Amino acid sequence: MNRLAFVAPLAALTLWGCDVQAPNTTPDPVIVPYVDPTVPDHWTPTTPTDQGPVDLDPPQAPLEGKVARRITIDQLRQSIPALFDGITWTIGTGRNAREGFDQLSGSLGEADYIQATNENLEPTPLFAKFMDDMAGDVCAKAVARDATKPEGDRVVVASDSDVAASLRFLRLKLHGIYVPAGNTEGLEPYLELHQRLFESDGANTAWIGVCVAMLTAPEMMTY
Amino acid sequence: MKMKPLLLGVVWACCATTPAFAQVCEETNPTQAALHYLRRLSLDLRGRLPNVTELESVVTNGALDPAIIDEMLASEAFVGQIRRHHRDLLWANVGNVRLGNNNWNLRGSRNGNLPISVGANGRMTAYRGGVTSCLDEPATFGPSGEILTTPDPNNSSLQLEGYVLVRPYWDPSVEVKVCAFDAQSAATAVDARGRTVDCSRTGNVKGCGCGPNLRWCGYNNGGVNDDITAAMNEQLLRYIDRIVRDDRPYTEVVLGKDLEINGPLAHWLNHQAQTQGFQLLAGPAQNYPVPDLEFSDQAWTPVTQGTRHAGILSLPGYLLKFQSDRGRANRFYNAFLCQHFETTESIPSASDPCHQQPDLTKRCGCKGCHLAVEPAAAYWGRWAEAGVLPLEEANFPRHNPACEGADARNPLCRTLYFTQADVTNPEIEGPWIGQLRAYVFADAAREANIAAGPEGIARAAVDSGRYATCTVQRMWQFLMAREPTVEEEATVAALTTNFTADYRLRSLIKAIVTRPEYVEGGRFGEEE
Ligand code: HEC
Repeated sequence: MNRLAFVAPLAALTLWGCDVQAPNTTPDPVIVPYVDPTVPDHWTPTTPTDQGPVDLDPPQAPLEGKVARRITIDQLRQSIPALFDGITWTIGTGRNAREGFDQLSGSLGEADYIQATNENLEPTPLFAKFMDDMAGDVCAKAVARDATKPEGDRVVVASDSDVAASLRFLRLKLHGIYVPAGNTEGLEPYLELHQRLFESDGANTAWIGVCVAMLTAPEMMTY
Repeated sequence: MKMKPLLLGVVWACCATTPAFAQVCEETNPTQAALHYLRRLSLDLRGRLPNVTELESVVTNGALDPAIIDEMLASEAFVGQIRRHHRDLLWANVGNVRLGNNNWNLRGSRNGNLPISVGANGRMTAYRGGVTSCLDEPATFGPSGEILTTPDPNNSSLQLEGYVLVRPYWDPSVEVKVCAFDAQSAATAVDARGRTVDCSRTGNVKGCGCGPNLRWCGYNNGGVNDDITAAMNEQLLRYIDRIVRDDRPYTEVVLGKDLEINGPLAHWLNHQAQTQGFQLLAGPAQNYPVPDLEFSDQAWTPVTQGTRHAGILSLPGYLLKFQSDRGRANRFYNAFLCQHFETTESIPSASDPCHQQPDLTKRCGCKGCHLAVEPAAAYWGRWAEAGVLPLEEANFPRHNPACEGADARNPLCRTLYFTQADVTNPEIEGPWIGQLRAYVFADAAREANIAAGPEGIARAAVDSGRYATCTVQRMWQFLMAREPTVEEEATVAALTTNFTADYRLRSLIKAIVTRPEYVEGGRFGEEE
């Protein structure tokens, strides 16, 4: 899988640009659910020819800012417990439980400066697989913990009664994207997912599912 | 529960046609941009995502409070991020370096209850007449304190002693069972031929053990060797941490004179580095006073580095990661000059007689690089290769007549001097026999480099401005996730000029993360 395929959805997110002054009216957001056939998921290999037309001889070098890149394993190692109130990814149970990022450091592509001197930041299928494991583990523990805490102290399910409010909370916390109250821009797919899982498997599963989806989304994994 | 991740992408068709929608942009764009800026800053400068409070404060204010940048730069997490950068730059891990041979390594028993002993054939045979450990019962001693043994019931050629209880240097709070021969603490003993030997250097004389508190021997099972290599890694990185944390000039990374040392490192240098003979050249003579610290003392003690030292370039973590002088020079070029040795010169076929030239600065194909590699390597010429030992003239004269003869086979000559055994082309190499290796083929310029030590290359790098330019390039790449483009040369030059004024890394990083290329990220350069 190439890097472009992975960051494309994020790039779409950054397509901001305002050129029109407008009167003070309630906005009518244009939200297109995710349908881009070139990037159906983060495990199907794609080739550069899927990425649209290219011009090998551009008229002028475009100005470029900071380039999007994949988050490092160490950034995840630091961030996950900070965002989930101390909960982190563990492998094994009881006395044998080990921190997942440490235990799988090599497989996750971190450099040890003996076998490898550079961290591999490619969003490889192996990385995606382990991130699914990580998210499944962290989210299941966090949702279970939330059930024992008052809403104000929770890390995933910020509100039992208001699904959209919890989603807004997670969207801000994990993706750094602000969705104003009363608005559901960008939350529809998560609302749908929640709804579907809620109907088939109940609230717990629904929240774990949403948490996993957000934690493995490109908006989380790139910056 | 196993769950497939759902990939979500939202295409924002912002501000396209309807004036009504433009209002969203007016309101949310700056906030959203500031949120992403905060996310970038936090991941790059602190190594983690921002917390909810920080994100909410941006939402409330509609902008990022610039004070948070200074807060991040002042945090310990920032020091940690710069540490990670240097770990990448210097491949700071000598965990795979073997510190000692088996004659000096104690081994634990599998069940943890049997006496520990050195597992090497040499010692075991000297002590017990064969390859075996001792009995799991208290040792007994004769009238003059000699260790008494009993024959092994299964093999009468083996004489077995019992154990004694010792408080080992790695943990004086406990007593461990140690085979009595291995536990001996005499400084000297008489060998089988009646000669008195130094027990701290002799691994196979019956009267010699591991020394007081076992201090001369490593203990792999106890992780003692790992403690030492871990201390080497840590020493290198904390050297840089302090410069960054205290906002000292970044040039001190290669020119500083204030290392810190802890118990495991001091113990190794004082008591173990020389036991191994010439396996890894090291010893207590480090051109700074190695403090007499207990191994178990984990605190870091400051010491002033003396002659031939230059910042991290003379620390074990550097010298043992890059064990040859050429390797040390090569990494310096890569890490601090952003330069790589390259040549356009092609290498003639292997049968070409030009390959007979042993001097790499003259040899066809090789000289393209080695004309620069050899003088650079010379700066480490008086630091032992494959070791941590400054080679001062008093003990290691440039020319050592003892290493000249055809029989100069002592380890010192073989390791450090150019001997007859090294000669491939007597006509050219003859005059260099008996010279310290770094001086072979050296001209006056290279001799000056050897005399200057690594401080020489560090100064030259700083004075040329190349050190500053390279640092700016590295920080740019670290933050922008790409190299500066040709169009950005002027920007990099301006940043370099400012950086050169005081070499504060923090100010340089602040200058970069407040530039529009970084603030705007992916939006940079788009039409407003
Ligand atoms: C492209 C540049 C380049 C060329 C060409 C080149 N070398 Fe080197 N050589 C180096 C560098 C750089 C090192 C140090 C490598 C390291 O350990 O990091 C080195 C190391 C060595 C070493 C290792 C010794 C040591 O101290 O570790 C030998 C021997 C050597 N070169 C011989 C040759 C010979 C013989 C040729 C020609 C046939 C040659 N080199 C051509 C760049 C070059």
